[in-house]
Amino acid sequence: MVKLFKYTLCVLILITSSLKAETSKEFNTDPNSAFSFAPAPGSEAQKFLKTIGLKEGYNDPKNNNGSTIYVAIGEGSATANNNSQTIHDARYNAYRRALLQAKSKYVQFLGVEISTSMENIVKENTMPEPEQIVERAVKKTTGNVSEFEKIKKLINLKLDQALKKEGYNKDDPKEKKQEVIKKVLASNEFKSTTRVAAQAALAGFQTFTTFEQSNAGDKVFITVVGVWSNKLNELANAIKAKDFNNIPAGTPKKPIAEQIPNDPGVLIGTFGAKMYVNENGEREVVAFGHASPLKEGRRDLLNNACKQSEIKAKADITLFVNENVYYTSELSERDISQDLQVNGKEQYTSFQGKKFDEKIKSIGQLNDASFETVDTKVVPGNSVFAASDCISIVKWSPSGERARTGMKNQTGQKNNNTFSGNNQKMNSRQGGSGSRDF
Amino acid sequence: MDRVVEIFKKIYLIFFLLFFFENANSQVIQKTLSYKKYNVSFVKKMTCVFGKTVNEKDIIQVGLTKKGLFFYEEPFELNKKFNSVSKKVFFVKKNWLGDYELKITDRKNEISKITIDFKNKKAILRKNDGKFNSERCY
Repeated sequence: MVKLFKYTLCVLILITSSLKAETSKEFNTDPNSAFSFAPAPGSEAQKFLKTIGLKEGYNDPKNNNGSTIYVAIGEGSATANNNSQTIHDARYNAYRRALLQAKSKYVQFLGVEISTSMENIVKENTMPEPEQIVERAVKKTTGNVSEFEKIKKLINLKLDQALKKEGYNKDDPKEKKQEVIKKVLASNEFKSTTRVAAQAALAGFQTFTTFEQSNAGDKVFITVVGVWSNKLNELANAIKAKDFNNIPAGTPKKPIAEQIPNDPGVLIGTFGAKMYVNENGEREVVAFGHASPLKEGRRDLLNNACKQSEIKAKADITLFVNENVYYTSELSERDISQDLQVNGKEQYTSFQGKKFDEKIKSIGQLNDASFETVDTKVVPGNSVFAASDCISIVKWSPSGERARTGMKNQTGQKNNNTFSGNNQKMNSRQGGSGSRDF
Repeated sequence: MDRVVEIFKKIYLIFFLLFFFENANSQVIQKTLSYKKYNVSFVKKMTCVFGKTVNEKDIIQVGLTKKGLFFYEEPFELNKKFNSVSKKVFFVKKNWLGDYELKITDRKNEISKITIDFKNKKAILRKNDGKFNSERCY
């Protein structure tokens, strides 16, 4: 008896332990073994921000020498491949897309209007085919065949006019006519819509830095770290109002020309307008425009590309100074059920669908401003990008504005456009960032 | 006398048919059930696309507002059931990983769950027809 008890106990222990083992395998709740992190878009930018003590979003003035800073990250990808002749225009547009996305985040932080609505549309139509109704009704009221035909024609004419409004045409093939009638048989549509709209005038939103990823066979992906601060805002407003006495002074740095990236690998990945502090502690806005020539080996086409990149750089300074950003998105959800009559049989169908539209629009304007071209560099085609990249570096400075005012009545001003080739190989990496004195 | 009766019959028929077509069997009822407007500021906002099949996609737009509210169709509080304008019930909580877990009970009482990772720009949608990872979030 004792033996039997011991044996039963052993068997029970064995069963329990095997069950326990299976249970723990099935419901493993140890979080460390179940999750891992994959590199996410924008993670390089997040790391960069961490190193300089900033975070995406609002940054408290207490931690930034009294300066209110908002940081936004945006991403955009190029539509052309790296071996395309228009790659640098595509990269620049990817940068613009990413910057616009970053700006839309800031605009939405400032405030949005959300409207959400719900609608229900019920349609019912048990009407049989129109011809049948006419025949049935006319036969009831008249026995005379010729009279019958006359009345039928008259009523049909009236009917055709009425049904045309519903999309029914008597001359259409029978199948098409039935389709129209099918549509209005019975339907129940539920629709809910959420609209988000934001609009803000931006002044002083700049590109802090850019990250560019370009894996072999993949299209270029650009991450922009955009920044807005009260000092940048004051600078932009001063440029707009031409009131240079109110520009907050900065700690003097090296001359701007020495601060501009000299490494072609960095310069090729430097986009947009940035604030720099010059050797006199004055704040200047420097912008980097990019364009590729239509064909390689043609000096005239390269010159055209450089003109285009200069225009792009000037446009970036304009957007830094005075820009209106509009953001709208609409997410609609539809839930439709329909009762159809197909070949005399009733059919029920239903479908659910969503529709999403997002639009970000930006308009910039700057009147009577003075720009100086600091430098123009060309990075020739290489193993990463097939086409040459002409980079125009344009700046706005208070000293330039003062000089312009002094020279306003003079003529024959010199254009200090310079052109220098560069044969170094390019590696994709982080672009240059302006002054960190926000 | 018969002629007069015939004329009246025709007139009656025409009026009957016109009335019949304009009113009797066809009707459209359009109801705007509810409408709400909010003024909010977003600290974080994310739009995610889920590829359920090659042809069928699902899109969600979620966010966090300055006032600490969660946004999905409408802004609402965390850890509290919310009856939306679109007649759904939302419940959102933050899990120990820092992700947001949103439970949606729709008008047909069907439940779907969305796990939202704002930091890594990812989301997971769980519905009765399966689990779907976000194809892209931006």
